[in-house]
Amino acid sequence: MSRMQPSRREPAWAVVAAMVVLLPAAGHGDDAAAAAAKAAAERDARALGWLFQQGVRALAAPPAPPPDADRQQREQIQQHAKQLERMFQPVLNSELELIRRCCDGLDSAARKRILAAGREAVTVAARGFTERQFNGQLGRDDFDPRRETRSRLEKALEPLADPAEFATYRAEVERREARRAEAARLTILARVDRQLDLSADQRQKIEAELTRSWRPQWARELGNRGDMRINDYPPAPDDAAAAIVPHLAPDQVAAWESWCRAAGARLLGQGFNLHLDGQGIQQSDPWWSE
Amino acid sequence: MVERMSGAPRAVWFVRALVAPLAVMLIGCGSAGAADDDVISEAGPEEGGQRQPHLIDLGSNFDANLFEQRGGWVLRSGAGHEPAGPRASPALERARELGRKRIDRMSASCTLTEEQRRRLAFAVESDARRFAHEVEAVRTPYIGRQVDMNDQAGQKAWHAFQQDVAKCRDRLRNVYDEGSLFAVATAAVLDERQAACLAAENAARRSFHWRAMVLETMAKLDESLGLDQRQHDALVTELLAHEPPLRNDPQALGRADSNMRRHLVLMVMAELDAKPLRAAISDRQWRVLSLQLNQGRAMRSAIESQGFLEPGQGSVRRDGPRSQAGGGRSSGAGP
Repeated sequence: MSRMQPSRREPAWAVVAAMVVLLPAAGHGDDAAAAAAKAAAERDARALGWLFQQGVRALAAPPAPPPDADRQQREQIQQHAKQLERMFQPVLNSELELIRRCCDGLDSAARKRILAAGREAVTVAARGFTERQFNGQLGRDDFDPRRETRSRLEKALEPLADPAEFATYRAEVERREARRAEAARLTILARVDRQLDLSADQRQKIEAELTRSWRPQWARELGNRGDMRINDYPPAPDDAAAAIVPHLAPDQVAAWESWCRAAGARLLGQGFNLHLDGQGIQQSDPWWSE
Repeated sequence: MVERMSGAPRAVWFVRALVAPLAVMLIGCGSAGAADDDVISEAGPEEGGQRQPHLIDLGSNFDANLFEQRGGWVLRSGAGHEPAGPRASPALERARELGRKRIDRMSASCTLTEEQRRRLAFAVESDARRFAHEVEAVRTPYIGRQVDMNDQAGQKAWHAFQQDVAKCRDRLRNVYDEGSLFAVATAAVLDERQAACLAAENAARRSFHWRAMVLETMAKLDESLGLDQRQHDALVTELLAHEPPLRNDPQALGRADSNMRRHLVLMVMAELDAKPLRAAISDRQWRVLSLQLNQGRAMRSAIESQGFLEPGQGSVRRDGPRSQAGGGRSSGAGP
């Protein structure tokens, strides 16, 4: 009802136009009757102006989504994110395990602050993951919940840890990245070997070339995308072609080209690779709460 | 209407005059083609009759399960997949192809002479024919045989069919292994230098694939356990020193998906002396790892039955790289 009240923002022209149309109908009776008729006419004019304005707005504006749709999706995201937090917990626990191994001199207060930062990181990571899932954006940017969690932990750790211990932790993180890179290179190479029967010499040369021209996105080969079959082939690692093709024999090059045509990895896009199989460290380490 | 048309430029008129009859012709041809397609489709048995998904034609499922599956099973339902009658078995061609690849790979490793190639090709042909003959004997009773999967007898027949196909898969894996003419010919044909060269190449390939499997698995353990470099190195050193007798042919290696590779590594780790492993990692890490090792241990029969390891050998060796030519019972040619 309150929305139906004419507002003071009615355009003056609408009021005037309505009065011009309606006032003559009020007649020329006595003053009281004339005043009442005038008031009624003004009220009607305002109402007409308001209705007219709403009609124009409705025509001009795109149809608004049902007011509940956004809220409903937000609630769904929140619920899913909450469930994911439990699945991301082992990610946090394994990151904390490495921190403990490198920085066992942390005092109780520092440990609690780092644990709190870790929990917040898990919440943020789960939220980011779920939002992308709902919007069909998962794997389309470089969002990685593990990296998100680790970077937030690292930020919290740096001012609290002994500098030498923090440096040890940083070195361990870098070594782990290097190990992942080596594993990814070998995974690529093993797939090429299965397909093209490389010689030992070719494998050595290609491995060296993959190391020299390493690209971080090749680490996605560590997921299970290699198990896919496209046109009865596994995905060809054609984004690493520059490191592979120069070391192939002519018949292998021909086989490589037909493999890439049939099942080039570029067809797969970035994909997304996160192991949430629940096989991380499930139990929280009480040391962090002590 | 006439006025509007007469107002159009001459070029537009020309296009209209040319395109309209062409369009009519094309549409006509299209519908004629569609009519032809209809005739062909109607000739098929499935289009006229009602499709019955519970009916399985075992004959048409035989080759698909033997040659197209990597350990799993496909069950193509509906009767009458092959309206033109049963096809010839692809067994001979498949076995020949595998043999050709073995010879090519052997030649790439140790440079065969033409005469050596000819003799090995003869052996391949003989083994391939024997294999095709054996497969045909198993396959023939299934040709044209339909079973109803809603029926208990039909399900029983399907299980018997699976066992028969599994035997043929095993045979296909071992067609050029010990006992084959190819294995005998390889030993007789290669000279000492070639045999040594081939053995070295095979050992290098086996070690490479084992190393790749170990590091791939360790990348996941790294994430799930939060290992540091020292712990990682301790586990990797143990695993690399206990290389299992991996089959070296692309058939076996290609079938091993990432999950199977991970379980193979965990299986080997589960069979190692636990003390050094246990000492290298924390209690919290061990609790997680020991669960995964149990899973790996439980996968042994699946890993063995799918032919990832050389038959008849222990999974773990503790004495450095394999020394015998070709490794294990296979012919020495690798693939």
